[in-house]
Amino acid sequence: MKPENTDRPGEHWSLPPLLGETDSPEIHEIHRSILQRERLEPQEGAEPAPWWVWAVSVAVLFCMGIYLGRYGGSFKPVAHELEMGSAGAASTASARPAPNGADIFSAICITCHQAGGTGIEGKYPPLAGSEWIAKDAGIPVRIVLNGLEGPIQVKGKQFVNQMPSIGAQLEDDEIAAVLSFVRSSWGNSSGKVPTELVTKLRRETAGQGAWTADKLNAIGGKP
Amino acid sequence: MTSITKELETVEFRERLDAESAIPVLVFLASGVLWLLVGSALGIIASIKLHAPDWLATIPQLTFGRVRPAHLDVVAYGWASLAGVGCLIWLTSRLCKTPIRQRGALIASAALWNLGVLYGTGAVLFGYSQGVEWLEYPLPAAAIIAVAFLLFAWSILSTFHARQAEHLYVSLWYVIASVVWFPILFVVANLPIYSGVEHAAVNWWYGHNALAIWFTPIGLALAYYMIPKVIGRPIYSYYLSLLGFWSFALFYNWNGIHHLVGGPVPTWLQTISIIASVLMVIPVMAVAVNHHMTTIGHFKLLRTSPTLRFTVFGAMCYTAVSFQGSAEALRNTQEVVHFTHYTVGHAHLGVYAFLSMILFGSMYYIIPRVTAWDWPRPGAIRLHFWLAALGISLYFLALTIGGWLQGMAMNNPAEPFVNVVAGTRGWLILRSIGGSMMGLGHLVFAFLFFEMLWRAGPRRGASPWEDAK
Amino acid sequence: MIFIRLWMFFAGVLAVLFLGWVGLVGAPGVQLAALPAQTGLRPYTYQQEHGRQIYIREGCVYCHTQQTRPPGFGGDQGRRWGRPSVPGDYVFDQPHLLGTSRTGPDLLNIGARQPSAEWHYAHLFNPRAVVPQSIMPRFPWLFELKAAADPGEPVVDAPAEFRPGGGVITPTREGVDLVEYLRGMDRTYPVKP
Repeated sequence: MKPENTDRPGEHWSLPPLLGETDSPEIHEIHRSILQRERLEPQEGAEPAPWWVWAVSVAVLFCMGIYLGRYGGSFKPVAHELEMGSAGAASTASARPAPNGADIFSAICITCHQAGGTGIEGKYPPLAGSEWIAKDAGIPVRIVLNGLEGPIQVKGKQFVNQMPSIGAQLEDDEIAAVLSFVRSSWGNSSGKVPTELVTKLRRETAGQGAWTADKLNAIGGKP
Repeated sequence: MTSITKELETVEFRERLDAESAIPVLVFLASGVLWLLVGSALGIIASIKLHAPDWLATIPQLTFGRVRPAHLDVVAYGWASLAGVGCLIWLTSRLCKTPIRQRGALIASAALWNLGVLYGTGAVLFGYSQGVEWLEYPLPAAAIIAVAFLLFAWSILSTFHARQAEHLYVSLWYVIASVVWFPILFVVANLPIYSGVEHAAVNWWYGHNALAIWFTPIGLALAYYMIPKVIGRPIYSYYLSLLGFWSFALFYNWNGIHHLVGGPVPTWLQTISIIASVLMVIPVMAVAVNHHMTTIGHFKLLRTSPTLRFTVFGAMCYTAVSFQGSAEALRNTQEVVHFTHYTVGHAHLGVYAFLSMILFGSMYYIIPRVTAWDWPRPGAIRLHFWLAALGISLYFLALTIGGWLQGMAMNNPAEPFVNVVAGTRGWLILRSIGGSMMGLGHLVFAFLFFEMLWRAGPRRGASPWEDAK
Repeated sequence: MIFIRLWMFFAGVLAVLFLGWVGLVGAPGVQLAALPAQTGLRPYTYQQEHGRQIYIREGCVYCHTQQTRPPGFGGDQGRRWGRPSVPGDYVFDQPHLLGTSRTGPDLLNIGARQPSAEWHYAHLFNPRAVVPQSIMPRFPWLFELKAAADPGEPVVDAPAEFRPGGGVITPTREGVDLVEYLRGMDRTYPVKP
């Protein structure tokens, strides 16, 4: 049937019968016909490469040379050189931008209090329309600085949970910005929180653990 | 022409070559097709979970974070590698004009390779991943695959050594280079000696090179063969082939760190990878011009030859995905699309629309020659093509647009992060639809494949239809 | 192949791979190995390291990065994910978990941003209980249903539908360690050059 393998050791392997019909003259015919309509093995033509291929290649190489010069940085293991200078992230040059209350809320508070300040029923109290927010600005500032734990009544509903202290994460002006945002969003309209108030309360409440609703009530909203 | 060269051009000689490589080729291709079905199922599960997170939520083995890497590993090391190896075995024998050597080693290689993929994927699903993208398989599984690869490389290099062809056709350059490159890369990257940021660099040196020096050479070697073969005219220009191959070899190796742009990686390192990515324009342009000038005037053959239809689709997507990659590596683009679903779309344009489509096309050519049987159902082949082509197009467009919007939203700090997540939902559903179409196409293809293997289905007479004049 | 002799082809092929390795792995490897750990960085505790293994096992890295980008490059700074991270922040990470996808937010400083263990337990047990629009998987196998909690053991605030027949849901050892790892994720110390 098929030519024997004569030019090297090793048996001729025929297709195993598991593949249905075994080798037969008819199968052989089909194979022949498949091969006969096949074209020659591919060859390589000798056309020259179009001139513009070379031109584009040279142009790209040239541009990348310039790119390397501009953005290569120093050959040091320093990241972020382009944005922050040759000292990278160790540089102190990058001034902190003015804090944006909405951004801070989206970055931090939103994980519990949700977009829209709605909170989650039975878990995290709402900020929209919350009487604790609307009271004296000193109350929310204290909660942010030191955290809050235990039962608390908000808008007529009971919440039992723990809010961690955010004081170490935020600068005074950032706390002022985010609370000003909270106090003037979603229907709240209790006005701005001055940075000086945060600075003053941070000093006064240093070392204070998490607040409870009772302790805050004892202060009576008068710092 | 000497009489020996003439003998090497006869039908009898080709018949003999194909018969000799038939069993190893079919073993690899059949394994590849089975892994393709597994990989598709895993991919579709992962995709659906991104918009229906409570579906199958209580089965630890099917949580997103395990299914997603299992999908990648199965399609990369199972489907693309095994089907690719099957095609390369046949191709090497044809191009060296000598029967394939070390067939026993090839069968052992296929057995080990399947074992490695099964073990590795099982390990990922059951929680024993190494935790590094593209390198999830635990070391024993990786070692098994490395041995399997070396056995395969041994067979290819022995065949190459015994070649009777006088001229070394361009496809062969890619095959030989990749069987030398990949085992070195795979072993070096799997060494358990890296940590911190250096590990990240090794990770992406490997991750991108798996494409650069293994998957892309498979696709290009097959495209360089199938296009002139089906059309029946020489590849346009030897000089373009040369420019394409050596610039490819030189630049592609340096691309990996574009996966870490903006990260805690030395600036110079990011910059050289960006530069190398842009320089990929040169080899891609050379290959694209070479293929286009060969095909020009013969586009009507796309209608009659499934091989050419799949292969030309794949070759065009190679050009597209490479140019996209060059543009995507730039810092301004990375700032938006890094970390988004856009990158996932890009990856599938490469591994699916380019590589897998060329693998399908090549298999439509190779399988009749190794089974001595004609494809029974042209209509089903057309169905496979359109499901795959439309599926990947929908997939790519959904993730490209959705990913870009996701990146723009993510870079705007006033947009709460949950809104960024919620905004991708519609696009992710479209992606699931596209992915399911691809999966359906694979079922059609697998059905056809196993019909061929059993020589079943309607018999097509002597009338040639596949690559008719 | 342009080369006159075949060995030159093989030499060329090996040379390009080696060159790429030198550029992307060898040279940076030498540079980075000489860098000390950042002074504010602590090695993982045994418990955190175990939690990190759970993080790897569940494939968190496929949706969460652990790297923060500099000002002027993306929104990381505006989102307050932390100062730009540097190589010295990662010296104890093996394997690295920088990640390439932000289907979820960056976690490099999640311990500083969300220090509440209670929140993490509720979130891991059912992310949609605390973030309704979340698409994160639940991880019920990191928790168990018990008649009553042991003294000092954390209890997950879960609705009754998850507690058929009453009882309480408490994290397993794996759940506790994963949360310890997450709460320890804090690279907010200042960078030393």
